[in-house]
Amino acid sequence: MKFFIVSGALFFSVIGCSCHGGVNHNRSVTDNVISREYVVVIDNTEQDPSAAQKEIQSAIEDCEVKMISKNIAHIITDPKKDDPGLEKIKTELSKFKWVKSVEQNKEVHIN
Amino acid sequence: MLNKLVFISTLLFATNSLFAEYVPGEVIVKLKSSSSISAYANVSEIAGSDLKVIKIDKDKDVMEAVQELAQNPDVEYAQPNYIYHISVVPNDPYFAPKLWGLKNTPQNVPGATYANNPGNLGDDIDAEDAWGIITDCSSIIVAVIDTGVRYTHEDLSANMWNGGVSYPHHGWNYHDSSNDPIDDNGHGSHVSGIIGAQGNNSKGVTGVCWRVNIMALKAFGSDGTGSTTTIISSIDFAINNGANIINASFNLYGSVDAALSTKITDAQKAGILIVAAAGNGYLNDGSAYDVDAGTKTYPCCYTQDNVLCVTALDQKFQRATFANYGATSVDVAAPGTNVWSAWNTNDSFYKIESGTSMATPYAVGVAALVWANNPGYTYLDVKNAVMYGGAVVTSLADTTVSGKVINAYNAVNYINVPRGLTAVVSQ
Repeated sequence: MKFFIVSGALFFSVIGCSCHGGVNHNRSVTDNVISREYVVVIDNTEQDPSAAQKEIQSAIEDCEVKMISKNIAHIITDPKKDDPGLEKIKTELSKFKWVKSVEQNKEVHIN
Repeated sequence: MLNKLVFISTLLFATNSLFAEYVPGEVIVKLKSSSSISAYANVSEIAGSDLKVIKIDKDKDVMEAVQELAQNPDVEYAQPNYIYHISVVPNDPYFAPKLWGLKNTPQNVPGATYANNPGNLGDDIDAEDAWGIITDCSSIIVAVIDTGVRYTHEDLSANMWNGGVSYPHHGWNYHDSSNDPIDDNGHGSHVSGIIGAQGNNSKGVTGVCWRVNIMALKAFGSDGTGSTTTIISSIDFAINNGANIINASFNLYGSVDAALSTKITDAQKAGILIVAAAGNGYLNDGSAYDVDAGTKTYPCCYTQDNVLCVTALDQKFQRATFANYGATSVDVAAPGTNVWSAWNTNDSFYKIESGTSMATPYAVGVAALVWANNPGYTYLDVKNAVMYGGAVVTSLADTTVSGKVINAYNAVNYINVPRGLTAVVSQ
């Protein structure tokens, strides 16, 4: 098992901090999976990206959402609260027909 | 027996024609002693030889004329008038002594960190011959998704992508969310130098392309770690800013990542070729394995046809001990040990590295040469030229799709089979 910590300041500079500015959010990684971070693929022909961002934001409590491209959203949950986990988030977002997949963010390495 | 010889000869010419250029409307023949060619009106001597050049109708297929003449009882042999190119040697001081992947002399590579095992003369990508045809890939934009690029480096600065006022530092930094993708690791600068360090500038190394546009996309931090999201953002930037090729010298290990796969498909729709590393064992532990059977590495193992996966060879053209392989996932091999290139320490610093990360940009450079020389090609044409225009390496037969190592000269000359043609049979 591998465990990595990336500084909170660095992390927030990556994803922005629209909901929880100043929160000390350490990134923890277990077996390549980054905790509290999720990636959502949407069908942007069915739903406008900015509208999708708002709907995801309101569907998942205590999180921040950033559209990293027109068809992919990045969710980060509040480290001060219990992480709902992948299955709960999948369930919450399943009501949106324009959501195509939900996964955890993963760590990638140069060679 | 003669018929068999003629048939074999025809086959060889047919094979060669995939790679060779020849003068249209001309065939060279050698006549048997005391024979003459009377059926052809336009025959001239080649001075200083006993060969003749026969002019044929320019609309007539040269290979058909060669076959016809080869069957003529007065002809000893017939062949096209092949076009040859000069070899071009750059004046970069590291070229001959250090860059074995471009020119294997065979040299001991100074400062080797991988086993220094000089191979055979010519065990390289035939860069000099390719440069006789083209060195300039300045019509091509290569997005390097990595640890950033030291864009002020003496061998890189002239070949950085011009992002205008919107992107004054030649790309974007998705790791730190800024407009400055300066390299704080070195890996991205090294990769960039292999693709496109300025050639023939009397400094350091030369890239496979002497001129090119390197788009710096920083998705990885100083520790070499990035994430699905920083890579997706980087690919999105490449799509939106006209990149032709993406260098992906990184790996995500494990199950298929649907989001990254979606973005690879978006790149495919945009006509972008993604060249990906096979990986150095699991999590860079250096113990090579079969990615078809073991943990898959992505983007290498994605099945979209715009992904070209590359493994690494050593100086003897043997697969490097660390280099992952896979008969259905890993497409081709390239030099990947003891590779000198630019580094981020300062603007004139160079370093030696080994890895499938280093093999990947060799393939990217060759792809850029092919595309620059054939602007009408699609990503699939370029991929096929890089894969199948390579040279056969017997040991790669069961460990890669093509069984080949990249070859710049053959790839640039590779002629793709025309698509979209319809044959109409009339009675």
